Amino acid sequence: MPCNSIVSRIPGVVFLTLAAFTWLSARNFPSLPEGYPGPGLFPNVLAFLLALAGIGLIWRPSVEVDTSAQRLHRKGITRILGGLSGAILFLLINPWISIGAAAGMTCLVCGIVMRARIKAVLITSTAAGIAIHLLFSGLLAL
Amino acid sequence: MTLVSWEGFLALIAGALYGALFGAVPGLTATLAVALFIPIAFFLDAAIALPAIIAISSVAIYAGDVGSAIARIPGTPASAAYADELHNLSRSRGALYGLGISALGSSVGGILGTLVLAGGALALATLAAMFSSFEYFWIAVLGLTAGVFASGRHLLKGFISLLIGLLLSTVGIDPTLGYPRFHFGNPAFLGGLDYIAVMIGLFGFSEVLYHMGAGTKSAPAAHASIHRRALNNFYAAPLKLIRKARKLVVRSSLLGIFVGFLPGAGADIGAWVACSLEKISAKRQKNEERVVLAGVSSNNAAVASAWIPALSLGLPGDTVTAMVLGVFMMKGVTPGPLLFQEQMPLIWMLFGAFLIANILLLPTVGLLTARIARTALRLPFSLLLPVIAATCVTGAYAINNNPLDVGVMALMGVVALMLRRGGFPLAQVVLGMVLGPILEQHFMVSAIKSNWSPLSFFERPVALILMGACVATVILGIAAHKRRLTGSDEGN
Amino acid sequence: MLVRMVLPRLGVVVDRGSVWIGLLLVTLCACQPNIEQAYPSRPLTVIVPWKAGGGTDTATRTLAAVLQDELEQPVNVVNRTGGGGIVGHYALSQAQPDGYTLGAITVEITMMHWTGLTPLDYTNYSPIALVTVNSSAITVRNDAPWQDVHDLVAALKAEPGTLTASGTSLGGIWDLCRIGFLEAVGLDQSAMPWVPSQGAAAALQELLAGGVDVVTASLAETDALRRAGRVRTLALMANERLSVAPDVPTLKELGIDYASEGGWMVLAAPENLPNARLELLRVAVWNASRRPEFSVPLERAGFRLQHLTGDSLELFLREEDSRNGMLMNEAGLAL
Repeated sequence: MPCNSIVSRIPGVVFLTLAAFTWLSARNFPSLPEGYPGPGLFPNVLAFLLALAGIGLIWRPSVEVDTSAQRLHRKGITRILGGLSGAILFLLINPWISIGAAAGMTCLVCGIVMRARIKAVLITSTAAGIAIHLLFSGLLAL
Repeated sequence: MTLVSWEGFLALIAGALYGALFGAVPGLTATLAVALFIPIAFFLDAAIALPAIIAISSVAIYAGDVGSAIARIPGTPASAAYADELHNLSRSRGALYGLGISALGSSVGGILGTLVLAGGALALATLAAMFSSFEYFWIAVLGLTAGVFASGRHLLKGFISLLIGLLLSTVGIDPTLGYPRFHFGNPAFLGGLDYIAVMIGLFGFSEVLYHMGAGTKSAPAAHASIHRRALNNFYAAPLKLIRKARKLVVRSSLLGIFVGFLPGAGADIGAWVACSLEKISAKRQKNEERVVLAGVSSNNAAVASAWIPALSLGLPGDTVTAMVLGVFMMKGVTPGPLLFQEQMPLIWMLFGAFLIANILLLPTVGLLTARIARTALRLPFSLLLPVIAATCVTGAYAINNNPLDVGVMALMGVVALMLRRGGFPLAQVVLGMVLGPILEQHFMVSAIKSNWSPLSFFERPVALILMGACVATVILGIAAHKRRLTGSDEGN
Repeated sequence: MLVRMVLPRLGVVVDRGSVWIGLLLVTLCACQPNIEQAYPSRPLTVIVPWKAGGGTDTATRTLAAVLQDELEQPVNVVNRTGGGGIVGHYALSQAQPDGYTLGAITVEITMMHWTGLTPLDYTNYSPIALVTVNSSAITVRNDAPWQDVHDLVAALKAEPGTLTASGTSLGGIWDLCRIGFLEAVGLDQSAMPWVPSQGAAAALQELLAGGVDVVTASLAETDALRRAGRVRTLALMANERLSVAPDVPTLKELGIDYASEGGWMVLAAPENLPNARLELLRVAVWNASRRPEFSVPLERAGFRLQHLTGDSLELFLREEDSRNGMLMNEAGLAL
């Protein structure tokens, strides 16, 4: 089966790096009196196992990937960034307006990114915003 | 003798609707629903307050599956075990059928759980009182092992997902020693990552991003003919399935009961072990219905059995039963063995409320929510996804009213996108996050208690049995894995 | 320009109708009522730094339910959890001191700053009133050989270090109570080592399973098991007995000079709350706390209700702060 040997080994390298990072950050954790391991024990064990698993993935890379996501092109990435900006917009405007309005804005941004008919998006966003406002601000008073 | 008064019955219905709302909206939980109800419960008669709490918790657990059906957002870590299967089922055969299995499976599991609660609460309580940190450590290991073998073809990838979840759980103040870890200098991280926020991001938000990236215009919809016979899809077909798979339902419910009555994270582990067992023992590849059935029945059986330690020992198993004990204390009701001798009317009322909630309310409120889910699934995809995105941000924010959770949720959406691309399962991350603190906590407590003697983990009889169960899961799981690999190779 | 140039390229078709709907939405968002009237003229929020369903949460929600009658405005309780209480305490200290955001501050505010976890301490708040005090109770298994505290102390003196205690995490409030108790009977804290646990419920589970010998959590947390006959409460580390458990003696009655306020909860506002509003809230909380809808359920559930306000509350907080700092220093937990 033709398979790009470098690309398929990327996950293994990523996990190895994550393990190394964990181990480095946990180095300065204190130990219990009498030298027994303390808060660093659990992260270190996890880092060790993750490193082993990462080496396993590098050694025998898996060819099984989600092929439906393979076709991710530039447009797709732009749209994903658009979706993320919807969530970030919520964070930015939430302190100033009602939670329903902020969620409606997220809905609006994502709808535009999904290229739905703008009138339908506006109506859905308003409905979602009002429903969320009634539920969270009205009923639960967040 | 009337089991439940008229007021109690009304309270059951109101509680069921309230619980359905809280269960179905991501970020709202059964715990929050009960907590909001507690100040009111203090003023109410116990015969009204307790049925309401029972209905809230029973229905909210089921309603957590509504999110899985519509948007692949599981309501609880337990329902993450079968979220993918339920979502696919609802897409291919209609939300009514998928949620029908969930509601009726929950109902059967809940009834079995109630019967055990009625019949064997005191005996089980004795068993629960034998669980010290050593036993809890092994039960957490058992849950993690089950998680690995539930991960399908590639066990190593399931293992890695689990490790990622466990690592995420170490963020924040160390639960045993109080030392802050991996907080990156931000006090908001000291509390750790909220597993519900992570769950919403991993499942719901990643689904939104995934379809945005792939440019999906419309979802694979079920055949129109499936939608027509609503009652058949919601009641008759799932009942037929349950009758055919009655062994599976009984086995999963018993697992839910026997793991679920343990104070702590019993319910989650029970559902995971049940789903994993079904995946290991399945002969056919396509058994989504059976996996869902295994998960839901064990899930709801645990709701009833979580009351066992509360009623017979006075020990709260989770936040909901802790609040129930508060109501008991307030009403001057004493939990313990005497409760079953002196307060029989109250006990009968509780059992009656549980039975009504499971036999009457779950199927009816279930149909109501399933119809709403069906309507939501009929929305055009390009409109449904933005609404899901809005629900995700609100839900993540609502858990702790913490903006950081929204950021964590969004980040997890991206992480999940990469994990999915590489073929790593997502549900295992959630399992790791939930079991991580339990595993670490009970390991550290055991080690400190026994002065770091490794032998102490193998000295107690119940601990040994649980360790045996872990080893058996590993052996069975590897054997099944090999069988499946060779089987599919021959198929090719 | 954005509408004309950018959106069509993204494939978004804009017509006149949708522009109007959009404008309407923007106006709706911008309209936030912001006119100040006599205090309180809008709903109040009370921040609870602990989980929904816990002791602090229950007490606060019960208080809020009565307080909204007194203030004639809705009082909403929100849980801002995490970080061993730091997140919620921090959120309250950062809120506007306008009297519309209040919060429950708990004993941890006098403990956390000693470990350097946070610079926050009790001076970052305008305390309104002390609401509940949950004293530590010495609880043992029902079949334990010690009939009273003196037996327990004798056992500890005979074989120091063999018995273990639990109740919360290392350096938590119940751990400090253990250290205080051991000190009062003239023992080192290693005479009864601490086994950390995630909370009182987990510690009680360990106690039942024989993993630890003593639990020092509050009576409110252990009372269900005590009434169920699974555990016995040897003594209360308080100044007086609790009405809900009249047969449990205090340490002082038994001749051991130690009492701790345990896990208390104070209703507070952010620092620099205007005096007029503080006074109004003090009166409202005082009236609310005397109403039976508030006091009866909580007292039955094992809480001790104690009302302190003004200068005596300041003194209480100052004393708690220095005492807990001292104990944490002895435990080797302080910086």
